[in-house]
Amino acid sequence: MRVAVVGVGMTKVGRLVDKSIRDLAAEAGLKAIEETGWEPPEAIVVGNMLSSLSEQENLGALIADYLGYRGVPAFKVEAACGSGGAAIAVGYSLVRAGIRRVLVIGVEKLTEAPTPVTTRRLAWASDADYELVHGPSFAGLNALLMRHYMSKHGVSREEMGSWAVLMHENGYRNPYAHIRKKVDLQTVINSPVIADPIRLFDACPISDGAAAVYLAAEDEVRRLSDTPVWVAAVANATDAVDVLSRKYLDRLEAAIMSAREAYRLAGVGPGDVDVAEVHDAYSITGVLGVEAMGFAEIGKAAKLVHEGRFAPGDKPTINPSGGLKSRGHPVGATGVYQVVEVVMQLRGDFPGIKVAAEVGAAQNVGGVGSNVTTTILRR
Amino acid sequence: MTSVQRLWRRAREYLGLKALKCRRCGEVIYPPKRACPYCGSRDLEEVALPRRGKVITYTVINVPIEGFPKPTVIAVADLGGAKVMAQVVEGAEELVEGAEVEVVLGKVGRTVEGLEYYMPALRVVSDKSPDEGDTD
Repeated sequence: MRVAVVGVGMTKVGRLVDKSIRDLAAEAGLKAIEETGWEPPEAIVVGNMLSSLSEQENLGALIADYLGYRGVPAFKVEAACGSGGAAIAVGYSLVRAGIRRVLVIGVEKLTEAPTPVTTRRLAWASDADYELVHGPSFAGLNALLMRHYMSKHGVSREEMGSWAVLMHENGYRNPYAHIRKKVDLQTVINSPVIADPIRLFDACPISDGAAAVYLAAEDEVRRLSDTPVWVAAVANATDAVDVLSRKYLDRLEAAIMSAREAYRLAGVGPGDVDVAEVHDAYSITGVLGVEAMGFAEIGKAAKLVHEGRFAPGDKPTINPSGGLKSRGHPVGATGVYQVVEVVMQLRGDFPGIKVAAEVGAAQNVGGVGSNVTTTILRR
Repeated sequence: MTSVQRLWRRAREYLGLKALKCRRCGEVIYPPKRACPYCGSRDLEEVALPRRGKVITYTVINVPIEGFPKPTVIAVADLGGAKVMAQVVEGAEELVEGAEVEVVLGKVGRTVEGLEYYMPALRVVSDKSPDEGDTD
């Protein structure tokens, strides 16, 4: 049973003071349903990590009812920053299992609480008993990997800094992006240190937002869309939540496993991908993500970005949305944003930088690489 | 934030630097798991990690999470083949990759009840100062 995306929707990403979780979910979700000609979904899957910041759990029922689909099976899927991709994986599996129309909504409202509270909760994606008890922030955990990676592979501060420059260059043209501002390399490498060696411009912003993908079984597709995009593969893989029991600190094994499996299922390789959205919560995450996708050898991605690779015009073009750095990172929604963005690239209607593409990939990473979903899409 | 209950539950393990060793492949497993993550064996034995080792990587966190010092200095150290995370509470100014460290007891943070708590922490063993050796 083949599965296609027959509708997408997303909200602008940002600090959206006048919108709550249900408002965001409705804006993105109803847009995706509207694209199908208002076809009611048979199930709704919600990707979200921290709706507790809004004192709101039970998102499946809340959103199903609020959108006008009371009675429809609906529930939340959580995999930290990888919740959106995990929700796509579950939604895809439901369609393959016989539910013909599934709406996947990723939603996150991180600015509902003061930033220190949100920062503390984001660190809950780490291992509470063996990491968090010692006090690392989430940036701190990624900083441990960044220092090790730079040292082991002889990567300079300038080379790592080029990631943020490229992301802001791309995101500047994305009307949905949170931070639409070009930055130069000197600004990046002289920005304030958050968790040495991670600086402000190595880190994604704290964002609100929602995105939705309407998945349909093959026999429904023609009726619901003139521009379907086919889901060639969805593959999820896990690693230890703690970074301590991993063999290597200079790679994300779950991202590597997830990408390999997605390529195998789709029958394509890294060289076939025209456009990819990878998960750059921090510069180091983006670099490790590019390497896990097989677009660069381990230790080489930052150097390649510094040399000008992966920019618009290159194959693959990476993060034409601006990535988590510029588009923003509404954590449980991010993985769904990525799929929406790749779908729009394949349909040719992404409103920012356009990439002529037949094959696209989205990589969503939860925790410090502990829960990764890779989705491959084709026209 | 952690709590007295959560710390008490693992106090013996934390303070004794307990880890597991796989009887089949010989790997040291830390944090503990119910099976060896490297070979899958469930034939595991408890071991105590050595109190000296070398820094693999570290970070100085200028924007710490609530309940922890500013800055929070965190290192991952190799203690007998295990990678262990801990705060660096002494000698942080001499912290580099490869630095020799010793496990000490350090006041690392506050619990949800507002109590300060102690955990195994790291002291950087300076090349310059005379080596005092193990103090336990």
